[in-house]
Amino acid sequence: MAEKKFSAKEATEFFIKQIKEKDEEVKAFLEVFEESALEEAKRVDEILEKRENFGVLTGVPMAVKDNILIKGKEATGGSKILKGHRAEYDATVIKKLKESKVVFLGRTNMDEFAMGSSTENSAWQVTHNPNDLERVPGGTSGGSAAAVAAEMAMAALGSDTGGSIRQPASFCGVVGLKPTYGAVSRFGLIAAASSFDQIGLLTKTAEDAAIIFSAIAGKDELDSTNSVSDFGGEFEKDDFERVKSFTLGIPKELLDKDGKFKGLDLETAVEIEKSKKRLEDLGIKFKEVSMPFIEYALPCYYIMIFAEESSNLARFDGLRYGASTKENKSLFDLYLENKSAGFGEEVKRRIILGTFVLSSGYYDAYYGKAEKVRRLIKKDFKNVFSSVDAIFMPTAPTVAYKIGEKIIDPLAMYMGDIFTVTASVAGLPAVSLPTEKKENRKKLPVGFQIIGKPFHEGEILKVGMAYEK
Amino acid sequence: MEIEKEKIKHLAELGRIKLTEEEAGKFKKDVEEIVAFFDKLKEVEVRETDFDISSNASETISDEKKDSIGTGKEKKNFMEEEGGYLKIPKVF
Repeated sequence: MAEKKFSAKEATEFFIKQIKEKDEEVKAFLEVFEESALEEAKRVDEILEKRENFGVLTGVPMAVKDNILIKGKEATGGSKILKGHRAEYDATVIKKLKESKVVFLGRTNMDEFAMGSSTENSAWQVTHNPNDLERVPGGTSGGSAAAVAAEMAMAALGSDTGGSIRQPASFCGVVGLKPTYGAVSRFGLIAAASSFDQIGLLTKTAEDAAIIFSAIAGKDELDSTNSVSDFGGEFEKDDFERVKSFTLGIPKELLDKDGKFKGLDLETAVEIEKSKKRLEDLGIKFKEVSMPFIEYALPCYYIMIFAEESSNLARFDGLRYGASTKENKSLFDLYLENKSAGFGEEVKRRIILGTFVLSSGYYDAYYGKAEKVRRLIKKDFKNVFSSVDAIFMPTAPTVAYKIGEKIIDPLAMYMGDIFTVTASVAGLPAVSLPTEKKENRKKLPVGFQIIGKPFHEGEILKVGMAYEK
Repeated sequence: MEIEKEKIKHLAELGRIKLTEEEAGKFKKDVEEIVAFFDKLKEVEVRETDFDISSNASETISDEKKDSIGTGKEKKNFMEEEGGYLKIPKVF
Protein backbone atom coordinates (compact mmCIF):
# COMPACT_ATOMS: atom_id res chain seq x y z
CA MET A 1 0.00 0.00 0.00
CA ALA A 2 2.86 2.31 0.88
CA GLU A 3 4.28 1.55 -2.55
CA LYS A 4 0.95 2.73 -4.00
CA LYS A 5 0.34 -0.55 -5.81
CA PHE A 6 -3.18 -0.35 -4.49
CA SER A 7 -5.06 2.07 -2.28
CA ALA A 8 -6.61 1.47 1.14
CA LYS A 9 -9.99 2.01 -0.53
CA GLU A 10 -9.28 -0.71 -3.06
CA ALA A 11 -8.15 -3.11 -0.31
CA THR A 12 -11.24 -2.40 1.79
CA GLU A 13 -13.55 -2.69 -1.21
CA PHE A 14 -11.94 -6.02 -2.10
CA PHE A 15 -12.67 -7.50 1.34
CA ILE A 16 -16.20 -6.08 1.46
CA LYS A 17 -16.85 -7.72 -1.91
CA GLN A 18 -15.42 -11.00 -0.56
CA ILE A 19 -17.74 -10.77 2.45
CA LYS A 20 -20.75 -10.12 0.22
CA GLU A 21 -19.90 -13.11 -1.94
CA LYS A 22 -18.96 -15.61 0.75
CA ASP A 23 -20.50 -14.67 4.07
CA GLU A 24 -24.04 -15.66 3.18
CA GLU A 25 -22.78 -19.24 3.46
CA VAL A 26 -19.99 -18.91 6.05
CA LYS A 27 -21.84 -16.50 8.41
CA ALA A 28 -18.66 -15.27 10.08
CA PHE A 29 -19.77 -11.64 10.47
CA LEU A 30 -22.51 -10.35 12.76
CA GLU A 31 -22.21 -6.89 11.27
CA VAL A 32 -20.20 -5.40 8.40
CA PHE A 33 -19.09 -1.80 8.91
CA GLU A 34 -19.27 -1.03 5.20
CA GLU A 35 -19.84 2.69 5.50
CA SER A 36 -17.35 3.46 8.28
CA ALA A 37 -14.71 1.11 6.81
CA LEU A 38 -14.80 2.92 3.48
CA GLU A 39 -14.63 6.28 5.26
CA GLU A 40 -11.61 5.10 7.29
CA ALA A 41 -9.97 3.83 4.10
CA LYS A 42 -10.53 7.18 2.43
CA ARG A 43 -8.80 8.96 5.31
CA VAL A 44 -5.91 6.47 5.12
CA ASP A 45 -5.48 7.18 1.40
CA GLU A 46 -5.24 10.89 2.14
CA ILE A 47 -2.47 10.15 4.64
CA LEU A 48 -0.67 7.91 2.15
CA GLU A 49 -0.98 10.61 -0.48
CA LYS A 50 0.89 13.00 1.81
CA ARG A 51 3.49 10.27 2.54
CA GLU A 52 3.46 11.00 6.23
CA ASN A 53 2.73 9.01 9.39
CA PHE A 54 2.19 5.70 7.77
CA GLY A 55 3.37 2.32 8.96
CA VAL A 56 3.18 -1.29 8.02
CA LEU A 57 -0.41 -1.63 9.26
CA THR A 58 -1.74 1.57 7.66
CA GLY A 59 -4.94 0.72 5.80
CA VAL A 60 -4.90 -3.00 6.64
CA PRO A 61 -8.51 -4.26 6.81
CA MET A 62 -9.20 -6.30 9.95
CA ALA A 63 -12.19 -8.00 11.55
CA VAL A 64 -12.90 -7.79 15.29
CA LYS A 65 -14.50 -10.35 17.60
CA ASP A 66 -17.86 -9.27 19.00
CA ASN A 67 -16.49 -9.03 22.57
CA ILE A 68 -13.95 -6.25 21.90
CA LEU A 69 -15.27 -2.71 22.20
CA ILE A 70 -15.10 -0.21 19.35
CA LYS A 71 -16.52 3.16 20.38
CA GLY A 72 -19.98 3.74 18.91
CA LYS A 73 -20.33 0.23 17.53
CA GLU A 74 -22.57 -2.50 18.88
CA ALA A 75 -20.79 -5.20 20.92
CA THR A 76 -22.89 -8.09 22.22
CA GLY A 77 -20.36 -10.75 23.22
CA GLY A 78 -22.55 -13.14 21.23
CA SER A 79 -25.36 -12.75 23.78
CA LYS A 80 -28.98 -11.64 23.62
CA ILE A 81 -28.60 -9.93 26.99
CA LEU A 82 -26.31 -7.33 25.33
CA LYS A 83 -28.48 -6.80 22.25
CA GLY A 84 -28.29 -3.14 21.31
CA HIS A 85 -25.35 -2.37 23.59
CA ARG A 86 -23.16 0.29 22.01
CA ALA A 87 -19.59 0.70 23.24
CA GLU A 88 -18.93 3.98 25.06
CA TYR A 89 -15.16 3.74 24.57
CA ASP A 90 -12.46 1.93 22.59
CA ALA A 91 -10.72 -1.13 23.97
CA THR A 92 -6.99 -0.42 24.36
CA VAL A 93 -6.19 -2.79 21.46
CA ILE A 94 -8.65 -0.89 19.25
CA LYS A 95 -7.13 2.43 20.31
CA LYS A 96 -3.69 1.13 19.37
CA LEU A 97 -4.85 -0.26 16.04
CA LYS A 98 -6.60 3.02 15.27
CA GLU A 99 -3.28 4.75 15.89
CA SER A 100 -1.74 2.31 13.39
CA LYS A 101 -4.59 3.28 11.00
CA VAL A 102 -6.10 -0.17 10.64
CA VAL A 103 -9.50 -0.28 8.89
CA PHE A 104 -12.21 -2.19 10.80
CA LEU A 105 -14.36 -4.30 8.50
CA GLY A 106 -16.90 -5.63 10.95
CA ARG A 107 -17.55 -7.69 14.05
CA THR A 108 -17.37 -11.46 14.01
CA ASN A 109 -19.47 -14.20 15.52
CA MET A 110 -18.52 -16.02 18.73
CA ASP A 111 -19.87 -18.38 21.37
CA GLU A 112 -21.98 -16.47 23.88
CA PHE A 113 -19.61 -14.70 26.31
CA ALA A 114 -16.76 -16.82 24.88
CA MET A 115 -18.17 -20.02 26.36
CA GLY A 116 -17.91 -23.00 24.07
CA SER A 117 -15.58 -24.55 21.52
CA SER A 118 -17.53 -24.43 18.25
CA THR A 119 -19.26 -21.01 17.93
CA GLU A 120 -22.56 -22.93 18.03
CA ASN A 121 -23.37 -21.23 21.35
CA SER A 122 -23.79 -17.83 19.68
CA ALA A 123 -27.22 -16.31 20.34
CA TRP A 124 -27.23 -14.98 16.77
CA GLN A 125 -26.10 -17.49 14.16
CA VAL A 126 -24.07 -20.62 13.48
CA THR A 127 -20.80 -19.99 11.64
CA HIS A 128 -19.66 -22.56 9.08
CA ASN A 129 -16.11 -23.73 8.46
CA PRO A 130 -15.01 -22.33 5.07
CA ASN A 131 -13.09 -25.58 4.38
CA ASP A 132 -16.27 -27.66 4.72
CA LEU A 133 -19.53 -25.82 5.28
CA GLU A 134 -21.09 -28.75 7.16
CA ARG A 135 -18.47 -28.43 9.88
CA VAL A 136 -17.91 -26.04 12.77
CA PRO A 137 -15.16 -23.40 12.55
CA GLY A 138 -14.16 -24.09 16.16
CA GLY A 139 -14.60 -21.56 18.90
CA THR A 140 -15.01 -19.32 20.58
CA SER A 141 -13.36 -16.99 18.03
CA GLY A 142 -14.94 -19.03 15.21
CA GLY A 143 -16.16 -15.99 13.27
CA SER A 144 -12.70 -14.40 13.28
CA ALA A 145 -10.99 -17.65 12.18
CA ALA A 146 -13.54 -18.28 9.42
CA ALA A 147 -13.26 -14.66 8.20
CA VAL A 148 -9.47 -14.96 7.79
CA ALA A 149 -9.65 -18.49 6.32
CA ALA A 150 -12.23 -17.40 3.70
CA GLU A 151 -10.16 -14.30 2.86
CA MET A 152 -12.87 -11.95 4.10
CA ALA A 153 -10.29 -10.04 6.21
CA MET A 154 -6.51 -9.67 6.21
CA ALA A 155 -6.46 -10.61 9.88
CA ALA A 156 -8.79 -10.64 12.87
CA LEU A 157 -8.74 -10.00 16.58
CA GLY A 158 -9.89 -12.82 18.81
CA SER A 159 -9.74 -13.67 22.48
CA ASP A 160 -8.44 -16.84 24.06
CA THR A 161 -9.40 -18.13 27.51
CA GLY A 162 -8.56 -21.82 27.08
CA GLY A 163 -7.99 -22.20 23.35
CA SER A 164 -10.54 -19.86 21.79
CA ILE A 165 -8.03 -18.51 19.26
CA ARG A 166 -5.81 -21.56 18.74
CA GLN A 167 -8.48 -24.24 18.28
CA PRO A 168 -10.49 -22.33 15.62
CA ALA A 169 -7.16 -21.47 13.94
CA SER A 170 -6.44 -25.22 13.81
CA PHE A 171 -9.95 -26.08 12.53
CA CYS A 172 -9.93 -23.36 9.85
CA GLY A 173 -6.28 -23.63 8.74
CA VAL A 174 -4.95 -20.24 9.85
CA VAL A 175 -2.38 -19.01 12.39
CA GLY A 176 -3.67 -18.28 15.90
CA LEU A 177 -1.64 -16.48 18.57
CA LYS A 178 -2.55 -16.40 22.24
CA PRO A 179 -0.09 -14.04 23.92
CA THR A 180 1.30 -14.39 27.44
CA TYR A 181 -1.23 -13.43 30.11
CA GLY A 182 -0.52 -9.73 30.63
CA ALA A 183 1.15 -9.09 27.26
CA VAL A 184 -1.88 -7.37 25.73
CA SER A 185 -4.25 -5.10 27.64
CA ARG A 186 -7.65 -6.60 28.40
CA PHE A 187 -9.24 -3.18 28.86
CA GLY A 188 -12.39 -3.12 26.70
CA LEU A 189 -12.63 -6.90 26.35
CA ILE A 190 -15.92 -8.31 27.64
CA ALA A 191 -14.58 -10.61 30.37
CA ALA A 192 -15.07 -14.36 30.43
CA ALA A 193 -12.53 -15.68 32.97
CA SER A 194 -10.34 -12.77 33.99
CA SER A 195 -7.24 -14.67 35.13
CA PHE A 196 -7.10 -16.52 31.78
CA ASP A 197 -8.44 -14.15 29.08
CA GLN A 198 -6.04 -12.68 26.55
CA ILE A 199 -6.71 -10.82 23.31
CA GLY A 200 -4.79 -12.26 20.39
CA LEU A 201 -4.76 -12.74 16.65
CA LEU A 202 -5.94 -14.86 13.78
CA THR A 203 -3.81 -14.34 10.68
CA LYS A 204 -2.72 -15.98 7.44
CA THR A 205 0.94 -16.19 8.47
CA ALA A 206 3.11 -16.12 11.59
CA GLU A 207 4.77 -12.99 10.21
CA ASP A 208 1.41 -11.15 10.08
CA ALA A 209 0.77 -12.23 13.67
CA ALA A 210 4.19 -10.87 14.72
CA ILE A 211 3.55 -7.50 13.05
CA ILE A 212 0.09 -6.99 14.54
CA PHE A 213 1.13 -8.37 17.94
CA SER A 214 3.91 -5.77 18.13
CA ALA A 215 1.28 -3.09 17.54
CA ILE A 216 -1.17 -4.24 20.23
CA ALA A 217 1.20 -5.47 22.97
CA GLY A 218 2.60 -3.33 25.73
CA LYS A 219 1.88 -1.58 28.95
CA ASP A 220 -1.53 -0.12 29.67
CA GLU A 221 -2.34 1.35 33.04
CA LEU A 222 -6.01 0.54 32.50
CA ASP A 223 -5.23 -3.17 32.95
CA SER A 224 -3.38 -3.80 36.21
CA THR A 225 -2.32 -7.31 35.14
CA ASN A 226 -0.65 -5.95 32.01
CA SER A 227 3.15 -5.90 31.89
CA VAL A 228 5.95 -4.58 29.75
CA SER A 229 8.51 -6.75 27.92
CA ASP A 230 10.60 -7.00 24.77
CA PHE A 231 8.99 -10.40 24.01
CA GLY A 232 12.22 -12.35 23.79
CA GLY A 233 13.93 -9.76 21.59
CA GLU A 234 13.45 -11.91 18.48
CA PHE A 235 11.31 -9.38 16.62
CA GLU A 236 14.29 -7.14 16.03
CA LYS A 237 16.35 -9.84 14.35
CA ASP A 238 15.68 -11.01 10.84
CA ASP A 239 17.58 -14.31 10.94
CA PHE A 240 16.22 -17.68 11.97
CA GLU A 241 19.44 -19.34 13.08
CA ARG A 242 18.76 -19.21 16.79
CA VAL A 243 15.28 -20.75 16.63
CA LYS A 244 16.50 -23.45 14.24
CA SER A 245 18.78 -24.73 17.00
CA PHE A 246 15.89 -24.91 19.48
CA THR A 247 14.96 -27.98 21.45
CA LEU A 248 11.20 -28.48 21.77
CA GLY A 249 9.86 -30.43 24.71
CA ILE A 250 7.08 -33.00 24.43
CA PRO A 251 5.38 -33.89 27.73
CA LYS A 252 5.61 -37.68 28.01
CA GLU A 253 2.40 -37.76 30.03
CA LEU A 254 0.56 -36.89 26.79
CA LEU A 255 2.12 -39.79 24.85
CA ASP A 256 1.10 -43.43 24.46
CA LYS A 257 3.52 -46.36 24.77
CA ASP A 258 4.62 -45.91 21.14
CA GLY A 259 5.63 -42.31 21.79
CA LYS A 260 2.68 -40.82 19.85
CA PHE A 261 0.22 -38.25 21.24
CA LYS A 262 -2.73 -39.97 22.93
CA GLY A 263 -6.32 -39.55 21.82
CA LEU A 264 -5.81 -38.05 18.37
CA ASP A 265 -7.96 -38.88 15.36
CA LEU A 266 -6.13 -40.43 12.43
CA GLU A 267 -5.91 -37.28 10.27
CA THR A 268 -4.52 -35.24 13.15
CA ALA A 269 -2.03 -37.95 14.16
CA VAL A 270 -0.62 -38.16 10.61
CA GLU A 271 -0.33 -34.38 10.24
CA ILE A 272 1.28 -33.91 13.66
CA GLU A 273 3.99 -36.47 12.85
CA LYS A 274 4.54 -34.72 9.51
CA SER A 275 4.98 -31.33 11.16
CA LYS A 276 7.45 -32.82 13.67
CA LYS A 277 9.48 -34.24 10.81
CA ARG A 278 9.54 -30.86 9.06
CA LEU A 279 10.66 -29.08 12.18
CA GLU A 280 13.44 -31.66 12.52
CA ASP A 281 14.45 -30.98 8.92
CA LEU A 282 14.94 -27.34 9.92
CA GLY A 283 17.39 -28.46 12.62
CA ILE A 284 15.01 -28.32 15.57
CA LYS A 285 15.39 -31.12 18.11
CA PHE A 286 12.69 -32.80 20.20
CA LYS A 287 13.03 -34.02 23.75
CA GLU A 288 10.58 -35.91 25.94
CA VAL A 289 10.04 -34.12 29.20
CA SER A 290 8.06 -34.96 32.32
CA MET A 291 5.18 -32.78 33.47
CA PRO A 292 3.41 -34.89 36.10
CA PHE A 293 0.53 -32.48 36.66
CA ILE A 294 -0.33 -31.71 33.05
CA GLU A 295 -3.02 -34.40 32.94
CA TYR A 296 -4.93 -32.43 35.60
CA ALA A 297 -4.94 -29.25 33.51
CA LEU A 298 -8.40 -29.84 32.03
CA PRO A 299 -10.45 -30.28 35.26
CA CYS A 300 -8.33 -27.57 36.93
CA TYR A 301 -9.05 -25.19 34.06
CA TYR A 302 -12.80 -25.80 33.95
CA ILE A 303 -13.29 -25.47 37.71
CA MET A 304 -11.45 -22.14 37.74
CA ILE A 305 -13.08 -20.64 34.66
CA PHE A 306 -16.60 -21.62 35.76
CA ALA A 307 -15.96 -19.84 39.05
CA GLU A 308 -14.59 -16.73 37.34
CA GLU A 309 -17.22 -16.71 34.59
CA SER A 310 -20.16 -17.04 36.95
CA SER A 311 -18.74 -14.17 39.03
CA ASN A 312 -18.15 -12.00 35.95
CA LEU A 313 -21.65 -12.66 34.64
CA ALA A 314 -23.24 -11.26 37.79
CA ARG A 315 -22.82 -7.78 36.33
CA PHE A 316 -25.29 -8.46 33.51
CA ASP A 317 -28.38 -7.57 35.47
CA GLY A 318 -30.61 -7.15 32.44
CA LEU A 319 -31.43 -3.58 33.43
CA ARG A 320 -29.71 -2.03 30.43
CA TYR A 321 -29.72 -2.26 26.65
CA GLY A 322 -33.34 -2.40 25.67
CA ALA A 323 -34.78 -4.12 28.74
CA SER A 324 -37.73 -2.33 30.25
CA THR A 325 -39.09 -1.80 33.73
CA LYS A 326 -42.31 -3.63 34.32
CA GLU A 327 -44.89 -2.15 36.63
CA ASN A 328 -45.44 -3.87 39.97
CA LYS A 329 -42.36 -6.05 39.68
CA SER A 330 -39.72 -6.25 42.35
CA LEU A 331 -36.10 -5.74 41.40
CA PHE A 332 -35.40 -9.40 42.24
CA ASP A 333 -38.14 -10.65 39.91
CA LEU A 334 -36.91 -8.34 37.18
CA TYR A 335 -33.39 -9.78 37.49
CA LEU A 336 -34.78 -13.32 37.32
CA GLU A 337 -36.88 -12.54 34.28
CA ASN A 338 -34.22 -10.70 32.29
CA LYS A 339 -31.33 -13.02 33.09
CA SER A 340 -33.34 -16.21 32.48
CA ALA A 341 -34.44 -14.94 29.08
CA GLY A 342 -31.17 -13.24 28.16
CA PHE A 343 -28.66 -16.06 28.73
CA GLY A 344 -28.29 -19.19 26.61
CA GLU A 345 -28.00 -22.77 27.83
CA GLU A 346 -24.20 -23.07 28.12
CA VAL A 347 -24.00 -19.78 30.02
CA LYS A 348 -26.66 -20.97 32.50
CA ARG A 349 -24.86 -24.31 32.92
CA ARG A 350 -21.63 -22.48 33.74
CA ILE A 351 -23.32 -20.12 36.19
CA ILE A 352 -24.72 -23.16 38.06
CA LEU A 353 -21.38 -25.00 38.03
CA GLY A 354 -19.39 -21.89 38.94
CA THR A 355 -21.71 -21.17 41.85
CA PHE A 356 -21.41 -24.81 42.91
CA VAL A 357 -17.58 -24.93 42.99
CA LEU A 358 -17.51 -21.68 44.96
CA SER A 359 -20.24 -22.62 47.41
CA SER A 360 -19.65 -23.31 51.06
CA GLY A 361 -18.85 -26.97 51.67
CA TYR A 362 -17.48 -27.50 48.17
CA TYR A 363 -15.07 -24.57 47.83
CA ASP A 364 -12.05 -26.36 49.33
CA ALA A 365 -12.59 -29.57 47.38
CA TYR A 366 -13.02 -27.86 44.01
CA TYR A 367 -12.01 -24.22 43.57
CA GLY A 368 -9.41 -24.23 46.36
CA LYS A 369 -7.90 -27.46 45.09
CA ALA A 370 -7.88 -26.26 41.47
CA GLU A 371 -6.04 -23.12 42.48
CA LYS A 372 -3.29 -25.24 44.06
CA VAL A 373 -3.11 -27.60 41.09
CA ARG A 374 -2.79 -24.56 38.83
CA ARG A 375 0.36 -23.60 40.72
CA LEU A 376 1.73 -27.13 40.35
CA ILE A 377 1.15 -27.00 36.58
CA LYS A 378 2.92 -23.63 36.39
CA LYS A 379 5.79 -25.18 38.29
CA ASP A 380 5.87 -28.12 35.83
CA PHE A 381 6.32 -25.67 32.95
CA LYS A 382 8.95 -23.69 34.80
CA ASN A 383 10.94 -26.86 35.48
CA VAL A 384 10.93 -28.05 31.85
CA PHE A 385 11.87 -24.63 30.48
CA SER A 386 15.25 -25.07 32.13
CA SER A 387 16.04 -27.83 29.62
CA VAL A 388 13.95 -26.94 26.51
CA ASP A 389 13.24 -23.71 24.62
CA ALA A 390 9.54 -24.30 24.01
CA ILE A 391 6.92 -27.07 24.12
CA PHE A 392 5.39 -28.86 21.15
CA MET A 393 1.95 -30.48 21.07
CA PRO A 394 -1.15 -30.70 18.86
CA THR A 395 -3.66 -27.85 19.08
CA ALA A 396 -6.77 -30.02 19.08
CA PRO A 397 -7.22 -33.81 19.23
CA THR A 398 -9.45 -33.85 16.14
CA VAL A 399 -10.15 -32.01 12.91
CA ALA A 400 -13.28 -29.81 12.74
CA TYR A 401 -16.38 -31.86 13.58
CA LYS A 402 -19.85 -31.63 12.05
CA ILE A 403 -22.23 -28.90 13.15
CA GLY A 404 -24.53 -30.37 15.84
CA GLU A 405 -22.24 -33.34 16.52
CA LYS A 406 -21.00 -32.35 19.99
CA ILE A 407 -23.32 -29.58 21.12
CA ILE A 408 -25.62 -32.05 22.93
CA ASP A 409 -22.78 -33.35 25.12
CA PRO A 410 -21.03 -30.51 26.98
CA LEU A 411 -18.42 -32.75 28.62
CA ALA A 412 -17.35 -34.18 25.24
CA MET A 413 -16.98 -30.62 23.97
CA TYR A 414 -14.80 -29.68 26.96
CA MET A 415 -12.51 -32.68 26.32
CA GLY A 416 -11.51 -31.18 22.97
CA ASP A 417 -9.64 -28.43 24.85
CA ILE A 418 -7.16 -30.85 26.43
CA PHE A 419 -4.08 -29.48 24.65
CA THR A 420 -4.91 -25.78 24.57
CA VAL A 421 -5.81 -25.32 28.26
CA THR A 422 -2.29 -26.23 29.42
CA ALA A 423 -0.77 -22.93 28.23
CA SER A 424 -3.84 -21.06 29.51
CA VAL A 425 -3.58 -22.46 33.03
CA ALA A 426 0.09 -21.42 33.13
CA GLY A 427 -0.53 -18.05 31.39
CA LEU A 428 2.03 -18.84 28.67
CA PRO A 429 2.17 -17.65 25.05
CA ALA A 430 1.17 -20.24 22.47
CA VAL A 431 0.71 -20.25 18.73
CA SER A 432 -1.24 -22.68 16.56
CA LEU A 433 0.22 -23.13 13.10
CA PRO A 434 -1.33 -25.03 10.17
CA THR A 435 0.69 -28.18 9.41
CA GLU A 436 0.19 -27.58 5.71
CA LYS A 437 -0.31 -24.56 3.46
CA LYS A 438 -3.79 -24.19 2.00
CA GLU A 439 -2.67 -24.83 -1.57
CA ASN A 440 -1.02 -28.15 -0.59
CA ARG A 441 -3.86 -29.35 1.62
CA LYS A 442 -5.92 -32.32 0.50
CA LYS A 443 -8.00 -32.81 3.63
CA LEU A 444 -9.28 -30.71 6.52
CA PRO A 445 -6.72 -28.45 8.21
CA VAL A 446 -4.79 -29.52 11.31
CA GLY A 447 -2.79 -27.25 13.61
CA PHE A 448 0.17 -27.84 15.87
CA GLN A 449 1.02 -25.77 18.88
CA ILE A 450 4.23 -24.20 20.12
CA ILE A 451 4.09 -23.02 23.74
CA GLY A 452 6.78 -20.55 24.74
CA LYS A 453 8.34 -19.16 27.89
CA PRO A 454 6.51 -16.21 29.45
CA PHE A 455 6.77 -13.12 27.21
CA HIS A 456 8.72 -15.01 24.52
CA GLU A 457 6.19 -14.47 21.73
CA GLY A 458 9.06 -13.51 19.43
CA GLU A 459 10.57 -16.98 19.67
CA ILE A 460 7.45 -19.03 19.03
CA LEU A 461 6.44 -16.83 16.09
CA LYS A 462 9.96 -17.12 14.68
CA VAL A 463 9.61 -20.93 14.80
CA GLY A 464 6.34 -20.44 12.88
CA MET A 465 7.98 -18.21 10.29
CA ALA A 466 10.82 -20.70 9.81
CA TYR A 467 8.24 -23.49 9.38
CA GLU A 468 6.26 -21.51 6.82
CA LYS A 469 9.32 -20.95 4.62
CA MET B 1 -22.12 -37.31 43.48
CA GLU B 2 -25.90 -37.02 43.54
CA ILE B 3 -27.00 -33.40 43.38
CA GLU B 4 -30.69 -32.82 44.14
CA LYS B 5 -32.82 -31.03 41.57
CA GLU B 6 -33.78 -28.52 44.24
CA LYS B 7 -30.08 -27.78 44.82
CA ILE B 8 -29.65 -27.09 41.08
CA LYS B 9 -32.58 -24.67 41.20
CA HIS B 10 -31.11 -22.99 44.28
CA LEU B 11 -27.67 -22.58 42.66
CA ALA B 12 -29.31 -21.07 39.58
CA GLU B 13 -31.33 -18.69 41.72
CA LEU B 14 -28.16 -17.51 43.48
CA GLY B 15 -27.09 -16.46 39.98
CA ARG B 16 -30.53 -14.84 39.53
CA ILE B 17 -31.72 -17.44 37.03
CA LYS B 18 -35.06 -19.23 37.20
CA LEU B 19 -35.12 -22.72 35.72
CA THR B 20 -38.10 -24.63 34.37
CA GLU B 21 -38.57 -28.20 35.68
CA GLU B 22 -37.31 -29.52 32.38
CA GLU B 23 -34.17 -27.32 32.44
CA ALA B 24 -33.45 -28.28 36.06
CA GLY B 25 -33.67 -31.96 35.14
CA LYS B 26 -31.29 -31.60 32.22
CA PHE B 27 -28.79 -29.46 34.15
CA LYS B 28 -28.88 -31.96 37.05
CA LYS B 29 -27.58 -34.68 34.73
CA ASP B 30 -24.93 -32.41 33.15
CA VAL B 31 -23.74 -31.03 36.47
CA GLU B 32 -23.40 -34.50 38.03
CA GLU B 33 -21.36 -35.70 35.07
CA ILE B 34 -19.11 -32.64 35.04
CA VAL B 35 -18.57 -32.69 38.81
CA ALA B 36 -17.59 -36.38 38.55
CA PHE B 37 -14.97 -35.29 36.02
CA PHE B 38 -13.77 -32.57 38.41
CA ASP B 39 -13.25 -35.26 41.08
CA LYS B 40 -10.12 -36.34 39.19
CA LEU B 41 -8.34 -33.56 41.10
CA LYS B 42 -8.84 -35.56 44.31
CA GLU B 43 -5.98 -37.80 43.11
CA VAL B 44 -3.54 -34.92 43.52
CA GLU B 45 -1.86 -34.63 46.87
CA VAL B 46 -0.72 -31.10 47.52
CA ARG B 47 1.86 -30.24 50.14
CA GLU B 48 2.33 -26.63 51.08
CA THR B 49 6.08 -27.10 50.53
CA ASP B 50 5.33 -27.65 46.83
CA PHE B 51 5.14 -23.94 46.25
CA ASP B 52 7.62 -21.17 45.72
CA ILE B 53 6.59 -17.92 47.24
CA SER B 54 6.11 -15.69 44.26
CA SER B 55 4.67 -12.25 44.05
CA ASN B 56 2.04 -11.72 41.41
CA ALA B 57 0.75 -8.51 42.87
CA SER B 58 -1.05 -6.26 40.42
CA GLU B 59 0.26 -2.79 39.88
CA THR B 60 -1.72 0.11 41.18
CA ILE B 61 -2.80 3.14 39.20
CA SER B 62 -1.59 6.59 40.17
CA ASP B 63 -4.08 8.51 42.27
CA GLU B 64 -4.96 11.31 39.89
CA LYS B 65 -8.27 12.75 38.86
CA LYS B 66 -9.17 11.71 35.32
CA ASP B 67 -12.17 12.08 33.05
CA SER B 68 -14.66 9.30 33.56
CA ILE B 69 -17.31 8.02 31.22
CA GLY B 70 -19.91 9.13 33.74
CA THR B 71 -23.60 8.49 33.95
CA GLY B 72 -24.31 11.09 31.27
CA LYS B 73 -23.03 8.84 28.53
CA GLU B 74 -23.98 5.56 30.14
CA LYS B 75 -27.64 6.59 30.09
CA LYS B 76 -27.84 5.84 26.38
CA ASN B 77 -27.44 2.17 27.25
CA PHE B 78 -29.89 2.31 30.15
CA MET B 79 -33.60 1.65 29.96
CA GLU B 80 -34.97 4.60 31.87
CA GLU B 81 -33.81 7.76 33.52
CA GLU B 82 -35.38 10.53 35.47
CA GLY B 83 -33.82 13.84 36.41
CA GLY B 84 -30.31 12.67 35.59
CA TYR B 85 -30.69 9.45 37.58
CA LEU B 86 -30.91 5.89 36.25
CA LYS B 87 -34.28 4.39 37.11
CA ILE B 88 -34.90 0.86 38.39
CA PRO B 89 -37.79 -0.70 40.34
CA LYS B 90 -38.06 0.09 44.06
CA VAL B 91 -35.55 -1.76 46.21
CA PHE B 92 -37.19 -1.05 49.60
